[in-house]
Amino acid sequence: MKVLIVDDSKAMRMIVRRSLTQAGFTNVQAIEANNGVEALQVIEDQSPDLVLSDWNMPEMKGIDLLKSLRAAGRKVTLGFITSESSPEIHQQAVDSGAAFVIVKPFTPAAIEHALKPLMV
Amino acid sequence: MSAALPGLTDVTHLFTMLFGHETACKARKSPLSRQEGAIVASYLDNCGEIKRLISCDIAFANSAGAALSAIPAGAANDATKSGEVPENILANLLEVMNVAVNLFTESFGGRLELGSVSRLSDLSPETQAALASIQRVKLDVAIPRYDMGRVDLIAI
Repeated sequence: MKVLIVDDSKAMRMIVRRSLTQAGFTNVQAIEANNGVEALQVIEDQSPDLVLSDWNMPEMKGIDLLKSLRAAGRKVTLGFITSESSPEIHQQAVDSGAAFVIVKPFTPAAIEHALKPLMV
Repeated sequence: MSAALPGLTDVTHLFTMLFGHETACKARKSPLSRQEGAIVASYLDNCGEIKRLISCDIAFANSAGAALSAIPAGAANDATKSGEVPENILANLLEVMNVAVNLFTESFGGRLELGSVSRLSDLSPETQAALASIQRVKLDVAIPRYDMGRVDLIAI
């Protein structure tokens, strides 16, 4: 399974990678993008199975990335990993087609809980 | 602890996520003195004003910076003993401080962004003045295998 991690923080991308391994997803091929604009290009080039995206990023926010993908007819599964914890943000994410929202700080167990249903 | 600052549990969860190991945080009574605060991170609101600071001693700087990318504890602890923060560890610490902005999102009630991460000797006058704030959460932070460090979270 190919997973695209989208976050403007290098540390967060590393933490998500590490958490995937700690959660037991050892067969995941992780690729990265720095923001939504870069992610669109990577998705076009590499067709990941899953996108794990931050919400607040320069260039293009995570929610705009999701809307762009859906507007272009791309159905790739996308979940958010974000410090945004308000119900309004979560509702906006789900309404726009996000598969899940994981709130930072998260544990490997939270990653496992969100991703496991997608792996079957 | 002040409501303007995150609680012990929030800090513990964030550091555990950052370092990938169960990190222990314990409240401390006395604040870091100016001399002990080796590195200071400032966080700005959307008007560019300093609203929060994180001040840490040299042990936290080395331990946190090293633990982020699994630099061996021996190298970090040796750097602490020699009173230095190597550039590669300082670069990692910047990433740690960048992610640590998440600590303030809820307690501040709005978005902040990392302004700067500076050694004590390089602080701007504005940051120096902000450091005088007494509204702070004072913590001892123990990352497994690394030297225990001290951190103050400061509200302006």
